[in-house]
Amino acid sequence: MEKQTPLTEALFYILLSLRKPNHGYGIIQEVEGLTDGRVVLGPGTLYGAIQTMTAKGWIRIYSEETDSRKKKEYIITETGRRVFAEEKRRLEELLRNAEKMEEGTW
Amino acid sequence: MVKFRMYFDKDKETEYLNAMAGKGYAMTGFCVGFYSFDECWPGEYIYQVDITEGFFRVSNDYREFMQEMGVEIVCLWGPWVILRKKAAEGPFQLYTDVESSIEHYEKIKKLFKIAIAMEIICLTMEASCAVGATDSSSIAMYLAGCSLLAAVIVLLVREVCRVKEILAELRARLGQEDPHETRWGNRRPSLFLCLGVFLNGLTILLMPEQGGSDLYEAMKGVLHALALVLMGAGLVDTLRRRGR
Repeated sequence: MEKQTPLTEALFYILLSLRKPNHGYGIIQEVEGLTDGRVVLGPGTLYGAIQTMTAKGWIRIYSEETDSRKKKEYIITETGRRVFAEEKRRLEELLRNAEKMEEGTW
Repeated sequence: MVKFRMYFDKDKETEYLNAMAGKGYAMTGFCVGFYSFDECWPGEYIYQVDITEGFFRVSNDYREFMQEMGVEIVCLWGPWVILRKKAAEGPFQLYTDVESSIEHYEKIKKLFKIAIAMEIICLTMEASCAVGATDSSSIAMYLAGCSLLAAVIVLLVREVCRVKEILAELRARLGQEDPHETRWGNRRPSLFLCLGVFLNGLTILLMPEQGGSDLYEAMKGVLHALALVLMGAGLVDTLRRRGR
């Protein structure tokens, strides 16, 4: 299997904000909130990420109403959760090892 | 209001559209180089240019998504999409991280390469027509065609080099330097070469059947000489840059 991690920051936060059903604009707002405005996803970046992750089966459409006022919602899949968990382990390892930097100071 | 502009560089085009919107002219349509504008409040819109997989069309997914983002699809031209958003709704930038910018410019690079391949096919056809033609005036026409196509090819190759340079810069920011893609800016063919080849084509096109006036002949001679000098200078310039 192709190596999926490390995830880009955009993919990481999009997966995280799809732990519950969310639509495009909602993802942008949630990611902006989670990062205190540091990561603001542009529409091109988000559109591309949604297309790629849907094709890879990491996320899927949750609801699609024929009524055009209702927005299309997405949600993370089991595969997506596995990829996210793998990335989390990698980040934990980084953090754990980062602590070692303190041992060098006295 | 209608204005004529030729852009190969979508970033320059975006700059132009935003400068016009800043002056109170909102772009509303495009057709072979002619941009049409309606009046708007100065700075009412922010424009962006995107590239899609479709040709003169975008998927329903894309359309719905942009609508949800408050982004209006102003017009489609070939694989290009001109988008705009009300400036009052906040900043509007399509690609906000290095990874997706790389994907974006990769698509643009591919597009230019396809265009070059198509132009080369046309050039080969023109050249074979020139070889097959018997009278001098049609040979001249085909040769002029070849020259003009060659000028376009040089322009397109310059664009590929420019995009490669952007990609190299983006990759460097990720710490993934590709040794093949560095210094592309230096390696692009000279604009002189393009101008020379273009002028050469024009001069052949201006060739009179027989017995033009002396002045006309002299003018043509000067133009042709200029074309040759430009081509020579262009070649030297290109090789010198590549050799660096």
